[in-house]
Amino acid sequence: MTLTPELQQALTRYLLTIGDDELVLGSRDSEWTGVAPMVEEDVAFSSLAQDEIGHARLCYMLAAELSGGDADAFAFLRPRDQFYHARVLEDRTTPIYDPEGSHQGHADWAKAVARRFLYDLFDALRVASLIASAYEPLARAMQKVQREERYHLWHGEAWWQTLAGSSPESHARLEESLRELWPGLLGLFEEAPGEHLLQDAGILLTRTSQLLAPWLERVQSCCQPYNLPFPAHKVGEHWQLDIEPLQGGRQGQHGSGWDDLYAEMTMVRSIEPEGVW
Amino acid sequence: MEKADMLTEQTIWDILRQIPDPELPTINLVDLGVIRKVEVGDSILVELLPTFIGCPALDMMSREIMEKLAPYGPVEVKIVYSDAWTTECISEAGREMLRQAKIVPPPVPNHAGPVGDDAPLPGPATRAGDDAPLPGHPQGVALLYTSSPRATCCLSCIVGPSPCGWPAGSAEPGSGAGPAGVAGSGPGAAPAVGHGNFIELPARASRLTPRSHAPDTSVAVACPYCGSSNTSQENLFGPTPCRAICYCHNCHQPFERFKTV
Repeated sequence: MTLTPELQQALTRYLLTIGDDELVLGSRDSEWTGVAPMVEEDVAFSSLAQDEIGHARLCYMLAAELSGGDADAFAFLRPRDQFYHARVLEDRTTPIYDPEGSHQGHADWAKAVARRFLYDLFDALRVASLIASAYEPLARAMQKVQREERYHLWHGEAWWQTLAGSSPESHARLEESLRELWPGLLGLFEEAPGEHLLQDAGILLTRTSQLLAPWLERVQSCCQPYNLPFPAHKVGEHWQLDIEPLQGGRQGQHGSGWDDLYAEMTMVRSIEPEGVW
Repeated sequence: MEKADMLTEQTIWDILRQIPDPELPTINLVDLGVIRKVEVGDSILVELLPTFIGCPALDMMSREIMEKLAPYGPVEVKIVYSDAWTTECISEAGREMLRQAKIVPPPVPNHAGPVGDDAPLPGPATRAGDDAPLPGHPQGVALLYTSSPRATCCLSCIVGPSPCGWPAGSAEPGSGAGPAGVAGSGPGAAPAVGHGNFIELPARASRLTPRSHAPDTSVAVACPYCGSSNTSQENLFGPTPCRAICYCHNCHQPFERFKTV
Protein backbone atom coordinates (compact mmCIF):
# COMPACT_ATOMS: atom_id res chain seq x y z
CA MET A 1 0.00 0.00 0.00
CA THR A 2 1.50 3.32 -1.06
CA LEU A 3 0.79 6.19 1.24
CA THR A 4 0.64 9.85 0.36
CA PRO A 5 2.83 12.07 2.53
CA GLU A 6 -0.28 13.31 4.36
CA LEU A 7 -1.42 9.79 5.14
CA GLN A 8 2.05 8.79 6.16
CA GLN A 9 2.21 11.68 8.57
CA ALA A 10 -1.23 10.99 9.99
CA LEU A 11 -0.50 7.31 10.43
CA THR A 12 2.82 7.98 12.12
CA ARG A 13 1.09 10.28 14.55
CA TYR A 14 -1.65 7.74 15.17
CA LEU A 15 0.89 4.96 15.82
CA LEU A 16 2.72 7.20 18.27
CA THR A 17 -0.58 7.86 20.02
CA ILE A 18 -1.22 4.17 20.59
CA GLY A 19 2.41 3.54 21.49
CA ASP A 20 2.39 6.40 24.00
CA ASP A 21 -0.77 5.13 25.69
CA GLU A 22 0.87 1.75 26.10
CA LEU A 23 4.28 3.04 27.14
CA VAL A 24 2.93 5.43 29.74
CA LEU A 25 0.47 3.00 31.31
CA GLY A 26 3.09 0.25 31.22
CA SER A 27 5.58 2.51 32.96
CA ARG A 28 3.14 3.65 35.63
CA ASP A 29 1.78 0.18 36.32
CA SER A 30 5.29 -1.23 36.62
CA GLU A 31 5.59 0.90 39.76
CA TRP A 32 3.40 -1.66 41.51
CA THR A 33 6.13 -4.27 41.21
CA GLY A 34 6.95 -5.18 44.79
CA VAL A 35 4.11 -3.25 46.42
CA ALA A 36 1.00 -4.88 44.96
CA PRO A 37 -1.43 -6.42 47.48
CA MET A 38 0.17 -9.87 47.23
CA VAL A 39 3.16 -11.45 45.64
CA GLU A 40 1.14 -13.14 42.88
CA GLU A 41 -0.22 -9.77 41.97
CA ASP A 42 3.28 -8.31 41.85
CA VAL A 43 4.00 -10.83 39.15
CA ALA A 44 0.68 -10.43 37.36
CA PHE A 45 0.63 -6.65 37.24
CA SER A 46 4.29 -6.51 36.26
CA SER A 47 3.57 -8.96 33.49
CA LEU A 48 0.74 -6.79 32.17
CA ALA A 49 2.99 -3.76 32.34
CA GLN A 50 5.69 -5.60 30.44
CA ASP A 51 3.22 -6.55 27.73
CA GLU A 52 2.26 -2.90 27.29
CA ILE A 53 5.87 -1.79 26.96
CA GLY A 54 6.27 -4.48 24.30
CA HIS A 55 3.20 -3.22 22.46
CA ALA A 56 4.57 0.30 22.65
CA ARG A 57 7.82 -0.85 21.12
CA LEU A 58 5.93 -2.54 18.33
CA CYS A 59 3.98 0.66 17.56
CA TYR A 60 7.19 2.69 17.58
CA MET A 61 8.80 0.20 15.23
CA LEU A 62 5.88 0.51 12.83
CA ALA A 63 6.14 4.28 13.07
CA ALA A 64 9.86 4.07 12.48
CA GLU A 65 9.34 1.95 9.35
CA LEU A 66 6.96 4.55 8.03
CA SER A 67 8.87 7.69 8.78
CA GLY A 68 12.44 6.48 8.84
CA GLY A 69 12.90 7.22 12.51
CA ASP A 70 14.13 4.95 15.24
CA ALA A 71 11.93 3.14 17.79
CA ASP A 72 14.16 3.98 20.75
CA ALA A 73 14.28 7.61 19.74
CA PHE A 74 10.50 7.70 19.61
CA ALA A 75 10.36 6.25 23.10
CA PHE A 76 13.05 8.27 24.82
CA LEU A 77 14.24 11.19 22.77
CA ARG A 78 11.06 13.05 21.94
CA PRO A 79 10.37 16.39 23.62
CA ARG A 80 7.98 16.31 26.53
CA ASP A 81 5.07 17.84 24.61
CA GLN A 82 5.34 15.46 21.67
CA PHE A 83 3.89 12.51 23.56
CA TYR A 84 0.24 11.92 22.78
CA HIS A 85 -1.07 9.54 25.45
CA ALA A 86 -4.33 10.24 27.25
CA ARG A 87 -3.72 12.17 30.43
CA VAL A 88 -5.42 9.66 32.71
CA LEU A 89 -2.58 7.22 32.10
CA GLU A 90 0.24 9.43 33.32
CA ASP A 91 -0.67 9.73 36.99
CA ARG A 92 1.07 7.72 39.64
CA THR A 93 -1.15 5.25 41.53
CA THR A 94 1.48 4.06 44.00
CA PRO A 95 2.75 6.00 47.02
CA ILE A 96 6.30 7.26 46.96
CA TYR A 97 8.03 4.90 49.31
CA ASP A 98 9.75 6.20 52.41
CA PRO A 99 11.78 3.74 54.48
CA GLU A 100 10.82 5.60 57.64
CA GLY A 101 7.18 4.90 56.93
CA SER A 102 5.90 8.33 55.99
CA HIS A 103 5.08 7.40 52.41
CA GLN A 104 3.95 10.27 50.28
CA GLY A 105 1.15 10.60 47.84
CA HIS A 106 -2.42 9.48 47.54
CA ALA A 107 -2.54 6.01 46.09
CA ASP A 108 -4.97 3.18 45.88
CA TRP A 109 -4.92 -0.26 44.39
CA ALA A 110 -8.57 0.20 43.43
CA LYS A 111 -7.56 3.15 41.29
CA ALA A 112 -4.86 1.15 39.55
CA VAL A 113 -7.30 -1.69 38.89
CA ALA A 114 -10.07 0.57 37.64
CA ARG A 115 -7.78 2.50 35.33
CA ARG A 116 -6.20 -0.60 33.88
CA PHE A 117 -9.42 -2.52 33.35
CA LEU A 118 -11.34 0.36 31.80
CA TYR A 119 -8.34 1.25 29.65
CA ASP A 120 -8.05 -2.38 28.55
CA LEU A 121 -11.71 -2.38 27.52
CA PHE A 122 -10.99 0.69 25.41
CA ASP A 123 -7.83 -0.85 24.01
CA ALA A 124 -9.64 -4.09 23.15
CA LEU A 125 -12.07 -2.12 21.00
CA ARG A 126 -9.26 -0.21 19.33
CA VAL A 127 -7.26 -3.36 18.62
CA ALA A 128 -10.30 -5.24 17.29
CA SER A 129 -10.95 -2.42 14.87
CA LEU A 130 -7.34 -2.12 13.73
CA ILE A 131 -7.16 -5.78 12.80
CA ALA A 132 -9.20 -4.89 9.73
CA SER A 133 -6.94 -1.99 8.80
CA ALA A 134 -6.01 -1.68 5.15
CA TYR A 135 -2.45 -1.01 6.31
CA GLU A 136 -1.33 -4.59 6.58
CA PRO A 137 1.68 -4.25 8.90
CA LEU A 138 -0.61 -2.63 11.46
CA ALA A 139 -3.40 -5.15 10.99
CA ARG A 140 -1.06 -8.09 11.43
CA ALA A 141 0.70 -6.63 14.44
CA MET A 142 -2.64 -6.06 16.14
CA GLN A 143 -3.60 -9.69 15.63
CA LYS A 144 -0.63 -10.62 17.74
CA VAL A 145 -1.44 -7.95 20.30
CA GLN A 146 -5.01 -9.20 20.61
CA ARG A 147 -3.88 -12.66 21.62
CA GLU A 148 -2.04 -11.14 24.55
CA GLU A 149 -4.68 -8.67 25.56
CA ARG A 150 -7.15 -11.45 26.29
CA TYR A 151 -5.18 -12.13 29.43
CA HIS A 152 -5.40 -8.49 30.45
CA LEU A 153 -9.17 -8.44 30.23
CA TRP A 154 -9.36 -11.67 32.11
CA HIS A 155 -7.25 -10.32 34.92
CA GLY A 156 -9.00 -6.98 35.06
CA GLU A 157 -12.43 -8.49 35.15
CA ALA A 158 -11.60 -10.74 38.09
CA TRP A 159 -10.27 -7.80 40.08
CA TRP A 160 -13.17 -5.58 39.16
CA GLN A 161 -15.64 -8.14 40.43
CA THR A 162 -13.59 -8.71 43.53
CA LEU A 163 -13.37 -5.05 44.47
CA ALA A 164 -16.90 -4.14 43.44
CA GLY A 165 -18.54 -7.10 45.09
CA SER A 166 -16.61 -8.13 48.15
CA SER A 167 -16.78 -5.60 50.98
CA PRO A 168 -18.18 -2.13 51.66
CA GLU A 169 -14.66 -0.77 51.91
CA SER A 170 -13.48 -2.19 48.60
CA HIS A 171 -16.65 -0.95 46.94
CA ALA A 172 -16.21 2.51 48.43
CA ARG A 173 -12.62 2.70 47.28
CA LEU A 174 -13.52 1.62 43.77
CA GLU A 175 -16.32 4.18 43.74
CA GLU A 176 -14.05 6.98 44.88
CA SER A 177 -11.42 5.99 42.33
CA LEU A 178 -13.97 6.02 39.54
CA ARG A 179 -15.14 9.52 40.47
CA GLU A 180 -11.55 10.68 40.20
CA LEU A 181 -10.90 8.80 36.98
CA TRP A 182 -13.97 9.52 34.84
CA PRO A 183 -12.85 12.81 33.27
CA GLY A 184 -9.51 11.32 32.33
CA LEU A 185 -10.97 8.04 31.12
CA LEU A 186 -13.36 9.91 28.86
CA GLY A 187 -10.29 11.74 27.55
CA LEU A 188 -9.10 8.45 26.04
CA PHE A 189 -11.54 9.09 23.22
CA GLU A 190 -9.96 12.31 22.02
CA GLU A 191 -8.91 11.85 18.41
CA ALA A 192 -5.42 12.19 17.06
CA PRO A 193 -5.08 14.73 14.24
CA GLY A 194 -5.63 13.17 10.86
CA GLU A 195 -7.89 10.31 11.89
CA HIS A 196 -10.46 11.41 9.32
CA LEU A 197 -7.88 11.02 6.56
CA LEU A 198 -6.93 7.59 7.81
CA GLN A 199 -10.54 6.54 7.99
CA ASP A 200 -11.20 7.68 4.43
CA ALA A 201 -8.25 5.59 3.30
CA GLY A 202 -9.50 2.48 5.12
CA ILE A 203 -6.46 2.45 7.39
CA LEU A 204 -8.65 3.23 10.34
CA LEU A 205 -12.10 1.69 10.40
CA THR A 206 -13.15 3.37 13.58
CA ARG A 207 -11.94 6.74 14.76
CA THR A 208 -11.01 6.96 18.42
CA SER A 209 -14.06 9.05 19.25
CA GLN A 210 -16.30 6.43 17.70
CA LEU A 211 -15.13 3.88 20.22
CA LEU A 212 -16.84 5.82 22.99
CA ALA A 213 -20.38 4.47 22.51
CA PRO A 214 -19.48 0.79 22.48
CA TRP A 215 -17.14 1.39 25.41
CA LEU A 216 -19.89 3.04 27.43
CA GLU A 217 -22.17 0.08 26.74
CA ARG A 218 -19.62 -2.30 28.13
CA VAL A 219 -18.61 -0.14 31.06
CA GLN A 220 -22.21 0.40 32.04
CA SER A 221 -22.67 -3.34 32.23
CA CYS A 222 -19.75 -3.40 34.66
CA CYS A 223 -20.99 -0.52 36.82
CA GLN A 224 -24.73 -0.94 36.94
CA PRO A 225 -24.93 -4.31 38.69
CA TYR A 226 -22.68 -3.03 41.45
CA ASN A 227 -24.31 0.35 41.79
CA LEU A 228 -21.12 2.12 40.82
CA PRO A 229 -21.06 5.66 39.43
CA PHE A 230 -21.27 5.97 35.66
CA PRO A 231 -20.46 9.10 33.65
CA ALA A 232 -23.22 9.11 31.03
CA HIS A 233 -26.88 8.48 30.38
CA LYS A 234 -28.84 7.63 27.31
CA VAL A 235 -31.09 10.01 25.47
CA GLY A 236 -32.96 7.93 22.97
CA GLU A 237 -30.34 5.90 21.21
CA HIS A 238 -27.47 8.22 22.01
CA TRP A 239 -25.18 8.62 24.94
CA GLN A 240 -24.98 11.93 26.71
CA LEU A 241 -21.97 12.52 28.93
CA ASP A 242 -22.60 13.85 32.42
CA ILE A 243 -18.93 14.59 32.96
CA GLU A 244 -16.59 16.80 30.96
CA PRO A 245 -13.75 14.77 29.43
CA LEU A 246 -10.23 15.78 30.34
CA GLN A 247 -8.66 16.23 26.91
CA GLY A 248 -5.47 17.65 25.50
CA GLY A 249 -3.32 14.55 25.85
CA ARG A 250 -3.59 13.69 22.16
CA GLN A 251 -2.30 17.21 21.43
CA GLY A 252 0.69 16.82 23.71
CA GLN A 253 -0.77 18.73 26.66
CA HIS A 254 -0.13 16.98 29.94
CA GLY A 255 -0.15 17.42 33.68
CA SER A 256 2.28 17.13 36.55
CA GLY A 257 2.11 13.33 36.52
CA TRP A 258 3.75 13.43 33.12
CA ASP A 259 6.44 15.88 34.29
CA ASP A 260 7.59 13.35 36.86
CA LEU A 261 7.35 10.31 34.66
CA TYR A 262 8.98 11.98 31.67
CA ALA A 263 11.91 13.13 33.79
CA GLU A 264 12.41 9.62 35.11
CA MET A 265 11.92 7.85 31.78
CA THR A 266 14.38 10.03 29.94
CA MET A 267 16.96 10.43 32.69
CA VAL A 268 19.49 7.92 31.40
CA ARG A 269 19.00 8.89 27.78
CA SER A 270 19.49 12.55 28.49
CA ILE A 271 22.66 11.91 30.50
CA GLU A 272 24.09 9.51 27.91
CA PRO A 273 22.09 9.60 24.66
CA GLU A 274 24.26 7.08 22.88
CA GLY A 275 24.86 4.85 25.86
CA VAL A 276 24.58 1.11 25.40
CA TRP A 277 24.94 -1.73 27.84
CA MET B 1 34.27 -26.10 9.24
CA GLU B 2 31.79 -26.02 6.43
CA LYS B 3 31.96 -23.40 3.79
CA ALA B 4 29.08 -21.10 3.22
CA ASP B 5 28.33 -22.50 -0.21
CA MET B 6 28.02 -25.98 1.20
CA LEU B 7 25.60 -24.92 3.82
CA THR B 8 22.11 -26.20 3.55
CA GLU B 9 19.14 -24.85 5.38
CA GLN B 10 18.89 -28.17 7.14
CA THR B 11 22.36 -27.64 8.59
CA ILE B 12 21.27 -24.29 9.94
CA TRP B 13 18.13 -25.77 11.47
CA ASP B 14 20.26 -28.43 13.15
CA ILE B 15 22.57 -25.80 14.59
CA LEU B 16 19.68 -23.71 15.81
CA ARG B 17 18.30 -26.78 17.50
CA GLN B 18 21.31 -26.61 19.81
CA ILE B 19 20.38 -23.18 21.14
CA PRO B 20 18.33 -23.36 24.32
CA ASP B 21 15.62 -20.84 25.06
CA PRO B 22 17.27 -18.35 27.44
CA GLU B 23 14.42 -18.40 29.93
CA LEU B 24 13.42 -22.01 29.48
CA PRO B 25 16.68 -23.82 28.73
CA THR B 26 14.98 -27.18 28.69
CA ILE B 27 13.65 -26.50 25.21
CA ASN B 28 15.52 -25.29 22.15
CA LEU B 29 14.48 -22.48 19.86
CA VAL B 30 13.48 -24.74 16.98
CA ASP B 31 11.22 -27.01 19.00
CA LEU B 32 9.75 -24.02 20.77
CA GLY B 33 8.68 -22.94 17.30
CA VAL B 34 10.10 -19.44 17.38
CA ILE B 35 12.28 -19.92 14.30
CA ARG B 36 9.95 -19.02 11.50
CA LYS B 37 12.24 -19.32 8.53
CA VAL B 38 15.83 -20.02 7.56
CA GLU B 39 17.29 -18.92 4.25
CA VAL B 40 20.80 -19.52 3.03
CA GLY B 41 21.96 -17.14 0.34
CA ASP B 42 24.72 -14.56 0.28
CA SER B 43 24.07 -14.42 3.98
CA ILE B 44 22.16 -16.56 6.41
CA LEU B 45 18.74 -15.17 7.23
CA VAL B 46 16.93 -16.35 10.32
CA GLU B 47 13.44 -15.13 11.09
CA LEU B 48 12.46 -15.15 14.73
CA LEU B 49 8.91 -15.00 16.13
CA PRO B 50 8.51 -13.59 19.63
CA THR B 51 6.35 -15.68 21.98
CA PHE B 52 5.12 -12.48 23.60
CA ILE B 53 5.80 -9.13 21.96
CA GLY B 54 7.35 -7.73 25.10
CA CYS B 55 9.57 -10.75 25.64
CA PRO B 56 12.79 -9.35 27.09
CA ALA B 57 14.78 -12.37 25.89
CA LEU B 58 14.42 -11.45 22.21
CA ASP B 59 17.68 -9.55 22.00
CA MET B 60 19.48 -12.33 23.79
CA MET B 61 18.05 -14.93 21.41
CA SER B 62 19.13 -12.88 18.41
CA ARG B 63 22.60 -12.49 19.82
CA GLU B 64 22.97 -16.20 20.48
CA ILE B 65 21.80 -17.07 16.98
CA MET B 66 24.29 -14.60 15.52
CA GLU B 67 27.14 -16.00 17.60
CA LYS B 68 26.30 -19.60 16.86
CA LEU B 69 26.02 -19.05 13.13
CA ALA B 70 28.85 -16.53 12.78
CA PRO B 71 31.41 -19.18 11.72
CA TYR B 72 29.25 -20.05 8.72
CA GLY B 73 29.00 -16.63 7.16
CA PRO B 74 27.29 -13.30 7.59
CA VAL B 75 24.08 -13.68 9.58
CA GLU B 76 20.95 -11.61 9.71
CA VAL B 77 18.33 -12.20 12.39
CA LYS B 78 14.99 -10.63 11.73
CA ILE B 79 12.34 -10.44 14.41
CA VAL B 80 8.96 -10.87 12.77
CA TYR B 81 5.90 -9.24 14.26
CA SER B 82 3.62 -9.64 11.29
CA ASP B 83 3.00 -13.26 12.05
CA ALA B 84 1.86 -14.58 15.37
CA TRP B 85 3.66 -17.31 17.27
CA THR B 86 1.10 -19.51 18.92
CA THR B 87 1.46 -22.39 21.30
CA GLU B 88 0.62 -24.63 18.38
CA CYS B 89 4.08 -23.86 17.01
CA ILE B 90 5.69 -26.00 19.74
CA SER B 91 6.74 -29.31 18.22
CA GLU B 92 5.82 -32.67 19.70
CA ALA B 93 9.46 -33.11 20.69
CA GLY B 94 9.29 -29.70 22.32
CA ARG B 95 6.21 -30.66 24.27
CA GLU B 96 8.06 -33.69 25.57
CA MET B 97 10.98 -31.47 26.61
CA LEU B 98 8.58 -29.31 28.58
CA ARG B 99 7.06 -32.38 30.22
CA GLN B 100 10.53 -33.60 31.19
CA ALA B 101 11.10 -30.26 32.91
CA LYS B 102 7.75 -30.67 34.72
CA ILE B 103 6.16 -27.83 32.81
CA VAL B 104 2.76 -28.77 31.49
CA PRO B 105 2.69 -28.17 27.73
CA PRO B 106 -0.25 -26.35 26.21
CA PRO B 107 -3.13 -28.60 25.20
CA VAL B 108 -3.00 -30.13 21.77
CA PRO B 109 -5.51 -28.44 19.53
CA ASN B 110 -8.14 -30.86 18.36
CA HIS B 111 -8.12 -29.61 14.82
CA ALA B 112 -5.61 -29.97 12.07
CA GLY B 113 -5.92 -26.44 10.85
CA PRO B 114 -3.14 -24.27 9.58
CA VAL B 115 -0.70 -22.62 11.88
CA GLY B 116 0.64 -19.15 11.45
CA ASP B 117 -0.62 -16.96 8.70
CA ASP B 118 -3.87 -18.64 8.02
CA ALA B 119 -4.66 -19.91 11.45
CA PRO B 120 -7.96 -18.65 12.71
CA LEU B 121 -7.92 -17.17 16.17
CA PRO B 122 -8.77 -19.96 18.48
CA GLY B 123 -12.42 -19.91 19.33
CA PRO B 124 -14.68 -22.19 21.22
CA ALA B 125 -15.18 -24.42 18.26
CA THR B 126 -11.52 -25.11 17.64
CA ARG B 127 -10.30 -25.18 21.14
CA ALA B 128 -11.07 -27.74 23.73
CA GLY B 129 -7.94 -26.59 25.40
CA ASP B 130 -7.31 -25.06 28.71
CA ASP B 131 -8.02 -21.47 27.91
CA ALA B 132 -11.20 -22.17 26.03
CA PRO B 133 -13.56 -20.66 28.58
CA LEU B 134 -12.54 -17.12 27.73
CA PRO B 135 -13.73 -16.92 24.16
CA GLY B 136 -16.50 -19.33 24.85
CA HIS B 137 -18.46 -18.89 27.98
CA PRO B 138 -18.73 -18.48 31.17
CA GLN B 139 -16.76 -20.65 33.51
CA GLY B 140 -13.82 -18.50 32.46
CA VAL B 141 -13.03 -16.64 35.59
CA ALA B 142 -13.58 -17.82 39.08
CA LEU B 143 -14.75 -15.34 41.60
CA LEU B 144 -13.64 -15.09 45.12
CA TYR B 145 -16.92 -13.85 46.38
CA THR B 146 -19.88 -15.52 44.87
CA SER B 147 -22.36 -13.23 46.58
CA SER B 148 -21.59 -10.44 44.15
CA PRO B 149 -24.22 -9.34 41.66
CA ARG B 150 -24.29 -11.58 38.69
CA ALA B 151 -25.17 -9.46 35.75
CA THR B 152 -21.60 -9.55 34.54
CA CYS B 153 -20.59 -13.02 35.48
CA CYS B 154 -17.75 -13.26 33.05
CA LEU B 155 -15.77 -11.44 30.45
CA SER B 156 -18.08 -12.50 27.71
CA CYS B 157 -20.93 -10.66 29.38
CA ILE B 158 -18.95 -7.47 29.27
CA VAL B 159 -17.15 -7.52 26.00
CA GLY B 160 -19.31 -9.68 23.85
CA PRO B 161 -19.50 -13.26 22.79
CA SER B 162 -15.93 -13.48 21.68
CA PRO B 163 -13.30 -10.93 22.59
CA CYS B 164 -11.09 -12.41 19.92
CA GLY B 165 -13.67 -12.43 17.26
CA TRP B 166 -15.33 -9.08 17.17
CA PRO B 167 -16.18 -8.27 13.62
CA ALA B 168 -13.67 -5.63 12.83
CA GLY B 169 -15.99 -2.97 11.59
CA SER B 170 -18.46 -3.56 14.34
CA ALA B 171 -17.08 -1.00 16.70
CA GLU B 172 -18.86 1.61 14.64
CA PRO B 173 -21.24 3.14 17.11
CA GLY B 174 -23.81 4.48 14.71
CA SER B 175 -27.05 4.28 16.57
CA GLY B 176 -25.29 4.21 19.86
CA ALA B 177 -26.03 0.58 20.28
CA GLY B 178 -23.17 -1.79 20.81
CA PRO B 179 -21.55 -3.72 18.01
CA ALA B 180 -23.82 -6.20 16.42
CA GLY B 181 -22.05 -9.12 17.97
CA VAL B 182 -22.57 -7.73 21.42
CA ALA B 183 -26.20 -6.88 21.09
CA GLY B 184 -27.38 -9.73 23.23
CA SER B 185 -24.97 -9.11 26.03
CA GLY B 186 -25.51 -5.47 26.73
CA PRO B 187 -26.89 -4.21 29.96
CA GLY B 188 -30.40 -5.33 30.58
CA ALA B 189 -30.14 -8.17 28.13
CA ALA B 190 -31.39 -11.41 29.51
CA PRO B 191 -28.53 -13.56 30.73
CA ALA B 192 -27.60 -16.21 28.25
CA VAL B 193 -27.76 -19.85 29.06
CA GLY B 194 -25.00 -20.86 31.38
CA HIS B 195 -24.71 -17.59 33.24
CA GLY B 196 -24.31 -17.75 36.93
CA ASN B 197 -21.90 -20.62 36.64
CA PHE B 198 -19.82 -19.36 39.49
CA ILE B 199 -16.92 -21.22 40.82
CA GLU B 200 -16.24 -21.63 44.48
CA LEU B 201 -12.57 -21.45 45.16
CA PRO B 202 -11.03 -24.11 47.33
CA ALA B 203 -10.64 -23.09 50.93
CA ARG B 204 -6.90 -22.75 50.80
CA ALA B 205 -7.04 -20.29 48.01
CA SER B 206 -6.24 -16.94 49.44
CA ARG B 207 -5.32 -15.41 46.16
CA LEU B 208 -7.33 -12.98 44.21
CA THR B 209 -6.01 -14.03 40.88
CA PRO B 210 -8.07 -15.14 37.93
CA ARG B 211 -8.57 -18.85 37.97
CA SER B 212 -9.76 -20.79 35.05
CA HIS B 213 -8.47 -24.24 35.46
CA ALA B 214 -8.77 -27.53 37.17
CA PRO B 215 -10.47 -28.40 39.34
CA ASP B 216 -12.51 -25.30 38.78
CA THR B 217 -13.38 -26.09 35.21
CA SER B 218 -14.23 -29.09 33.16
CA VAL B 219 -10.76 -29.38 31.71
CA ALA B 220 -8.21 -30.48 34.27
CA VAL B 221 -4.52 -29.78 34.10
CA ALA B 222 -2.78 -32.95 35.22
CA CYS B 223 0.01 -32.56 37.73
CA PRO B 224 3.34 -33.27 36.00
CA TYR B 225 4.67 -34.88 39.18
CA CYS B 226 1.94 -37.26 40.28
CA GLY B 227 -0.53 -37.15 37.43
CA SER B 228 -3.43 -36.10 39.63
CA SER B 229 -6.02 -33.84 38.11
CA ASN B 230 -6.82 -32.37 41.50
CA THR B 231 -4.99 -29.19 40.63
CA SER B 232 -5.76 -25.52 40.50
CA GLN B 233 -4.28 -22.48 38.92
CA GLU B 234 -2.58 -20.20 41.38
CA ASN B 235 -1.59 -17.42 39.07
CA LEU B 236 -2.26 -16.84 35.42
CA PHE B 237 0.96 -14.86 35.36
CA GLY B 238 4.13 -16.81 36.01
CA PRO B 239 7.85 -16.20 35.91
CA THR B 240 7.70 -15.33 32.22
CA PRO B 241 4.75 -14.03 30.21
CA CYS B 242 4.20 -17.41 28.58
CA ARG B 243 3.87 -19.45 31.78
CA ALA B 244 1.25 -19.76 34.51
CA ILE B 245 1.59 -21.20 38.01
CA CYS B 246 -0.52 -24.13 39.21
CA TYR B 247 -0.74 -26.18 42.37
CA CYS B 248 -1.38 -29.87 42.91
CA HIS B 249 -3.67 -30.57 45.82
CA ASN B 250 -2.76 -34.24 45.76
CA CYS B 251 1.05 -34.09 46.08
CA HIS B 252 1.14 -30.47 47.25
CA GLN B 253 3.57 -29.49 44.56
CA PRO B 254 3.44 -26.16 42.77
CA PHE B 255 4.14 -26.46 39.07
CA GLU B 256 4.04 -24.41 35.89
CA ARG B 257 2.11 -24.75 32.72
CA PHE B 258 2.59 -23.12 29.36
CA LYS B 259 -0.14 -20.62 28.57
CA THR B 260 -2.14 -20.97 25.42
CA VAL B 261 -1.55 -18.05 23.12
